[in-house]
Amino acid sequence: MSTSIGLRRARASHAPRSRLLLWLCAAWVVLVIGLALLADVLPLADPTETLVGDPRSGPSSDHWLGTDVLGRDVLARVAHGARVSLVVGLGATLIGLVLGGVIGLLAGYFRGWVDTVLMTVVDAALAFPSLVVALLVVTFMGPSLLNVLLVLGILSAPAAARVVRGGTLTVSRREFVTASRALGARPRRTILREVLPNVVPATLSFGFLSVGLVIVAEGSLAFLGLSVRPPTPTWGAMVEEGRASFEVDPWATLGPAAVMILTVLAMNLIHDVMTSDVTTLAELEVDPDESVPLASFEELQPSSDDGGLVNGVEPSDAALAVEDLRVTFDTPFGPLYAVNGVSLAVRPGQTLGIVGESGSGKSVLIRSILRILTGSVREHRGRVWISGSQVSGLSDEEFSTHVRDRTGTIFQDTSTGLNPVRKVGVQLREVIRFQTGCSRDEAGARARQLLQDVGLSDPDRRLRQYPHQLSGGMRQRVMIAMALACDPEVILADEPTTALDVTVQDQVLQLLHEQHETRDTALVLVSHDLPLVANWADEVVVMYLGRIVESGPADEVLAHPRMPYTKALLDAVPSPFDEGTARLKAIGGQPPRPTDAGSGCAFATRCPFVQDKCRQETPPLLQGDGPVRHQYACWYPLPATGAGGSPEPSTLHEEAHHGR
Amino acid sequence: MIGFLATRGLRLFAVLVVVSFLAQLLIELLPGDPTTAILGLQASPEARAQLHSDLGLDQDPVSRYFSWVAAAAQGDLGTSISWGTPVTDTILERLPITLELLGWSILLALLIAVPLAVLTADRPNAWTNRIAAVSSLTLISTPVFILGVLLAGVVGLKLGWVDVSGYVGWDGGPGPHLQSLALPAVTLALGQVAMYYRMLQSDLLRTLREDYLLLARTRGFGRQRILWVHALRPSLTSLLTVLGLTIGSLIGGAVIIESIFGIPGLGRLLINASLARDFVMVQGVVLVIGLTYVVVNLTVDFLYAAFDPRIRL
Repeated sequence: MSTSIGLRRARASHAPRSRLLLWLCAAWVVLVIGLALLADVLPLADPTETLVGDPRSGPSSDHWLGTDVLGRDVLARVAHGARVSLVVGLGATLIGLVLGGVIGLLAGYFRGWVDTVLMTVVDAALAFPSLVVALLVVTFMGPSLLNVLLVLGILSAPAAARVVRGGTLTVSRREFVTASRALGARPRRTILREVLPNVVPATLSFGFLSVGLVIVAEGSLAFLGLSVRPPTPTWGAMVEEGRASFEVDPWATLGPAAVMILTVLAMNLIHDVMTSDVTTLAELEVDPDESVPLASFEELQPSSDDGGLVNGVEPSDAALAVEDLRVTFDTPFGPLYAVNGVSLAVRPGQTLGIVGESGSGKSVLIRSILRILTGSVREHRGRVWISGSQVSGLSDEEFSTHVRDRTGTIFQDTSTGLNPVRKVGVQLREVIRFQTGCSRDEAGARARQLLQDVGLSDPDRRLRQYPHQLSGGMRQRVMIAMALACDPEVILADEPTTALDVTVQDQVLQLLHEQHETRDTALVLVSHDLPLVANWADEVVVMYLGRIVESGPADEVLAHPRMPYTKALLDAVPSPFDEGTARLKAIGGQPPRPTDAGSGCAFATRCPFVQDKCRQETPPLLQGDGPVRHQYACWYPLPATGAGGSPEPSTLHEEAHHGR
Repeated sequence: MIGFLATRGLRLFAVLVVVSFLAQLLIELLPGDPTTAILGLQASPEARAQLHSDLGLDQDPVSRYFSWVAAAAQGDLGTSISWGTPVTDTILERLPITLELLGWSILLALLIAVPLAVLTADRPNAWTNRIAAVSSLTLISTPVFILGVLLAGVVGLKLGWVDVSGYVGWDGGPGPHLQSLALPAVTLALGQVAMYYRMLQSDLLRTLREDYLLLARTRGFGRQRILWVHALRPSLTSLLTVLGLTIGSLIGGAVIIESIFGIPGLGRLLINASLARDFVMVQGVVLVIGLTYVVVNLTVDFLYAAFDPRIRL
C-alpha cells in the first residue's frame, strides 16, 4: 500500500515535543479502543435502535454527536463502528505481518535467488491498486467481516515483507549473525535468536502505519457497501449514509469522519515518531552531521570590543581575518566544539596553509567564514573581516553581496562541487554574468578564456559538457575557473587536491599558485598534508580538535616543529622513496571526541611525551622563545634544534601499528 | 539503453501477466456454480450451459487464460455478460474520462506541492514549514472518500460554488465539463499533494547540503534562484519515483471518487460490473488498469533521463 512512501522519511524530530505527541496519540488510541470494548457497558443508546431521538437532531446533551436520518444515536454507532475498524485494522495487520514477516525474513536472510524470486512477486503485488483487488475479491466472495479481514490481511503482506526484508538484510550482515552462521548455527535458530529481535522495532512501527492503512481500506470498502453488512454500524457506511443529508445535518457525517481521521492520524504519527527514534539510534554510529537538516543562514555575532591585531596583522589590512571564531554543533552526545576560538589573518597576496587531520575543524572553519554551515549549529560567533571590512554584523543579503566578488571557493570533492544536471558552460556563464553583469556573449568569451587560463584543452567542447563527462582533474580546474571568475581577493581552497590523482595534484596546486601569483590573490589552502602545504604556503596554521596548536612561517614550522602533534603530522607522511605504498600512516590512537571539552591538552591522550600537567591544564597558544614569530600550544615543546635533534617519537609509530 | 528497456519492460510485462491471470482466477472465488451467481437461481439449464461455454468454464484455467490472451492481443476482450456489448468498446468509452481525471489531479497536486516544497525547503524550522508538515500528515491520514464527501458537502452543497450533480462531457461545453471535474480532481489531488510535498522536500533538503549549492551561496545567488534554478532539478528523482508508484493508489482513489461524484469512468464501470458479476467486463477493466500502471511507470523512466543527464537509459 503505497501511502507508506511519504511517511518513511521522517526527519529527526525534537525529542520532548515528539514525546508529548506520542502520549497524545497513544491516549487517543486507548480512548477509541476503550470505546469499542465498553460500547455495551457504557450508558450509550442501542446503535441499531431507531428514533431514540429526533432524526438529524445535531449534537445535544443526550446525543453528543447527534442522531442520524433514522434517529439513531451517532456516538453509539461510532463506538460500535470502532469495533469493526479495530478488529479489521489489527487483525489484518497481524495477518500481514506474519505472512510478510516470513517472506521478508526468508528473502533477507538467504538473499540470492530466494530474495530475487520473492521480491519480484512482492513488487508485482505492490504494483496493483490494492483497493481494486479488495473490492473485486470482496464482491465476488460476498461482503463479510471474515472476507474483508482476510483480503486486507493478505494485501498488507507485501509491504510488510519489504520492511522486514530491509531490516533483516542490515542485521544479517552484522558480525554477530555472521559469527553464529560461521559457528554452524542452523538458519532457523539464527533467524529466531539473532535476527528477529533486531527486526522487531522497525516492524512494530510499520505495524502502526499498516493499521492506519487497513482502517482506511476497510472504511473505503464499507463506504462502497462492501464491508460488514448493516445493521452493524461501520465508520465508512456511516459517512455514506450521512452524506445525503449533509446540508441539513452535517454531524452524522462529521462525527464518524473526524473519529476516523484522528485514529488514522494517531497511527501515522506514532509511526513517524517511532521511525525517527529508530533512525536517530541507527545514525549514532554515523556522522551526526548527516542526519540533521541544513542550518539556516546563521548570523555571526560580532564581539563587543573593536580593533586590535590578529596575529600581528591589522584586520583592516588583511585579505581575510578571523578573530576568536567559535562554532558549536548539537549532537546526540552533547555540544561539539568544532571550532573553538580560532584567530588568524592572511595578508593580500599571501598564502596561508591550514593543516590538521580530518575532524580537526579546518573545513568547518572555512564553511563558517562563508556562512555555509550545515548541521544543527548551536553557536556560531566571532569576528570575520573579508578584504578589510568586518562582515560579522551583516545580514545574509549584505554578506552575500560583499562576499560574492571578493572570495572564490574550491572544495575537495570534484564530483559534488558542480551541479550535476547543468552544463559546465551554463554554470560558468551564470556566475560571470551574475557577478559582472555583462552580456551573454561577453560571458561566453570570458568563460572560454577562464577555461583556457586553468589549462583546459578544447574549452568550447568542455563548456558544452556536463560535469560527469569530465575527469576529476578537469572538474577541479572548472571549479577553480568558477572561483576565479570574479577576480577574488582571496581564494579559499578546502582540500583542493585530496580527491585527485597524485600526478594531477601537483598540477592543480601549481595552477592555484600561478593564479595567486599573477593576480596577487590571497590563498587559503586547507589540507591534511603538512609538507605539501608547507611547500606552497607562506604561513602555516596547525589545527587540532577545533583549536590552533601551532602556527608560524611555513619554513620555520616545517623545519622546527615544536608541538608533538605537528611533528607527528610530518612523520605520518611517507618519504618520496616509498611512495605509493603507505599513503598516510595514521597517528596512533583516536582523537578524543571534540564533545568532551574537558581541561588539559586535547592531544594528551595520544602524545608520546605526555606529562601530568598536560592532562590537567590546557596549554595556551604562545609565542616561542626564538627570534622568529612562531606560536605553539604545548607545555613541553620539542627542542627548537630542528627535526634531527628532537627525541625520536618512536612510540608514535608503534601506536600507529596497534591502532590500525 | 536497450538492456535497460528490456529489463524494465520485462518486469512490467510480468506485472501485466500476473495481474491478468489473477483476474482470470477471480471467477473461482464465486461461491457455488458461477453461472448461478451470474444468472440467478431461476435460470434455465440451457442458458447456464450456454454461459458455461461462453465463459470457457469447460476448459481448465490455463488454457482459458491463453485463449483470452490471444483474443485480447487482437483487441477483443470479449462480450459483456450483463450489457451484451463488446467490452473493448465500453472500456474505450470510459477510459478517457478516468485518464482525464487522473491527469488533472496529478497536475493540480504538482502545482501545489512543488512550490510549497521549494519555498519551505531551506527553512526547515520556520513556522510555515511546521504548518505544512502537520497539514500534510493530516491529509495523508484522511481517507479519500471522506475528503470527497466533505468537499462535495461543503463546497458543492453548503456553499454552492460548484455544481456536484453529475458529470458533464466535453459535448456539454468545456466550461461545464471542467466544472464537473473540478471537485473530483481537487479531492484526488489533495491526497497526492502531501506525498509529493514530503518526498520533494526531503530530497531538496539533501540537495541543499550538497557542495555545489553551498558554493552557489558563496557566489551570492539569491535564495529564489538557488532554490528554483539550482536545487529543484537535481531533487526530482524521488518525486518521479513516487509519481510512478502511487499511480496504483491514485487509481484506487479514482474508483471511489467516481462513485461519489457520479463520473462514468473506468472505476464506476468496475464497481457496477463486479456487482453484476460481469466477469468478462471486470477482466477487461483490470487489464486496462494494469496497462495504465505499466505505461505511467515507463514514462517515469524516460523522465528520469530527461531530468538528470547522468542517467543514460
